[in-house]
Amino acid sequence: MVQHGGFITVAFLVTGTVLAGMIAVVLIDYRVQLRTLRRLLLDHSDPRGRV
Amino acid sequence: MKLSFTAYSNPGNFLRMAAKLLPWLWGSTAFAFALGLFGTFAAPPDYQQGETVRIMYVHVPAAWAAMLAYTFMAVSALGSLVWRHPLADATQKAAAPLGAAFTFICLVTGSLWGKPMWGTYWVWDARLTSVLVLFLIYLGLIALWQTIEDPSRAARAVSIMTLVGFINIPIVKFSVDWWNTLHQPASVFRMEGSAITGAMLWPLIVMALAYTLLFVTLHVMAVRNEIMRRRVRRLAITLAAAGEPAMARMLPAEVAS
Repeated sequence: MVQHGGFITVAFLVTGTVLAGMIAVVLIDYRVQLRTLRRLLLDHSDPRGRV
Repeated sequence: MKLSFTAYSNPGNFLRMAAKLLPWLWGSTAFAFALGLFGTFAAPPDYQQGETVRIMYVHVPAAWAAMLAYTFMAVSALGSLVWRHPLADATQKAAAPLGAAFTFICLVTGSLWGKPMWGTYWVWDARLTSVLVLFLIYLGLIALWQTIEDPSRAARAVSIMTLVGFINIPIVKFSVDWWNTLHQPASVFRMEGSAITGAMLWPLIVMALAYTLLFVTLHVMAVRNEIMRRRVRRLAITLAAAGEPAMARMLPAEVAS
């Protein structure tokens, strides 16, 4: 039995969860922005081509 | 080949460069984490702390990444205020939540390391308090971005606040030298050289590299998201001005009116 094993486990679990959460948030945000932008561009093309 | 810094300040060029870079960044981040985690559990236990020292491999790199993210934000704030760099606002906004998350990891893992070693989760000593202040500064800056609707006005306010808050970074770094703290003094970056043995140092350096690579990867992605968000906003404004009521509903009241 590792001494203070509970503290070590929780520290690694918290770190892993927060890092995974950061990755998930950025990826979900990308999907949302891409979908919104595509929908806008498909529905309303900008004649100046700037958007 | 002539390299132009200003060429990369163009959002379109940034998006093209990000698309090429991201697979390499993800690959190197995954490799660094795999190697770092192997080293974390292969390293010998500490003669005083035993296995508990393994928390160091997730705590210390998080602290370094938190300070790196803030320093990067301060440089971006200068770029925004002084040079009006087109991407500086976006890079600043994208770095804040990442920096806050690293600071959160640092605080929580530090507490979990402190309880078995010091007998307490928290003490109001200079290092712990200055890192908590850093976390609160991050939250304040994120809130400020949300409070001001106009992105350029928000960027100006946030830039000033970021530069004012930068005073906290040397306080975090040198707090263990300037004051008598329960937190141990620097043991890696110090004039006399590292106080950690090689077998424990290399996993720490690799984990620090992994955290840094993860920050860079997520930051490039978050800046890309921010550029897209601004394009969506600009397009919605253009279409609302052209009389598209559906677009006006997408915008906040003060912009749509």
